[in-house]
Amino acid sequence: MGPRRFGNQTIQQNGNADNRDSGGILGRGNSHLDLFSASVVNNRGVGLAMRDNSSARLGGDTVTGNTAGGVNLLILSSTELLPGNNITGNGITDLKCRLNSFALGDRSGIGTVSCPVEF
Amino acid sequence: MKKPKMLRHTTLMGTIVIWIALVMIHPISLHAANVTVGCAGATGTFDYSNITDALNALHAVSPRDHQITVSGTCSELVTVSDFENLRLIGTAGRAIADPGPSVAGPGFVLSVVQSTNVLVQGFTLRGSGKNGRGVGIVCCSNEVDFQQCTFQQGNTGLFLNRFANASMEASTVQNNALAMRISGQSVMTIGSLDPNSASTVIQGNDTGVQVDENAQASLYGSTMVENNSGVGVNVQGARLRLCCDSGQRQVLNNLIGIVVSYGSVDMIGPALIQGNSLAGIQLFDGSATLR
Repeated sequence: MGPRRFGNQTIQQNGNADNRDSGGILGRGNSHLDLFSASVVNNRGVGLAMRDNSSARLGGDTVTGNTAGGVNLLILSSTELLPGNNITGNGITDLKCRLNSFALGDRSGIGTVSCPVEF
Repeated sequence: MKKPKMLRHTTLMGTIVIWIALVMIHPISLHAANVTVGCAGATGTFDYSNITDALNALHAVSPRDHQITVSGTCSELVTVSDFENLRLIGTAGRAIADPGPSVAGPGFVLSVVQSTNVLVQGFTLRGSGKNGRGVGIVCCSNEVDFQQCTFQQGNTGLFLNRFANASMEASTVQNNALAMRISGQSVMTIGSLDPNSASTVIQGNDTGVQVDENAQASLYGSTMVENNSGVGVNVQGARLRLCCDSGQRQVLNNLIGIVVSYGSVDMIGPALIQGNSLAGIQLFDGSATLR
């Protein structure tokens, strides 16, 4: 039996350019996401969007090449950034917060940021 | 030390009494049977000409420990009820098909109810279209295993309800209105942890898998949910698992890959969520763990 290969989930090429609410992973209405060692890449829309009192924990993830942003937080939502993320090379902004949303944690590996961030 | 003669006699009598009691409690092995069914298109000599007659005859003898080997295409509504340890085996070219709306009966081509340890292997189960009957249902039964089966052209490919416990591997569910519904606290395992097992594929349906009413579905091995015109996997008040490190689960080219409303999805090990036209994963008051 080979070594266990946990992680290694890929979310890619989802969404469409004509729909601003499309993309890789979309959470709303008090949702929660734990995303570890995953790739969210090249989605046509946002890579990951959490809104309406939702939260996410990201660690060891690659979020790149998403056309409408890497990680978007909207309306009382938040994310905890654990070490090892690569959130770069996305359209518009790599990490964006709007309407009383925020991020906290490890700033390394994050490209452009438009967010109140508690690092 | 040698036992007294009287004591030895008593011990022997006791053994005989216990043996007789065991046989009375477990008469199953005395009535187990293997029978054959030959439906339309089958050639050869068979015990029965349809599955329903075989089931009725076997159940009249005992509800336990039987195998039915089926050849040809059986146009009938099959109900497996109150069986234990039943194997329903299809030979090459075998199918169970919806006899059409003019035939009264249950709303599914194959119903498994109140039964335990049932294997259905090697069948094409065929409905009469998305507006017709469902193809398969498992209700209030345990350990129902579908292997190398195809569920197609029904309003529902396979429906699990009321605490059912079932599994499916190396099978295809295609061209139904709803491929699978797992409901009523049922538990369904789709795919196999055996890396040598063929993939289970859920494709070309309006909706792929719906999991609701506190049920649980697990996608194992190299299971694929692809090219469904609506949601690939729709979780409503229920739980979905994609596991583990044998093979890669794939959710491809659906409208939305996975939707979770008031429930959860856990992914452990490789998974590919790709090409879904609105979103890969969508959560509404739900949670997702990918690790």
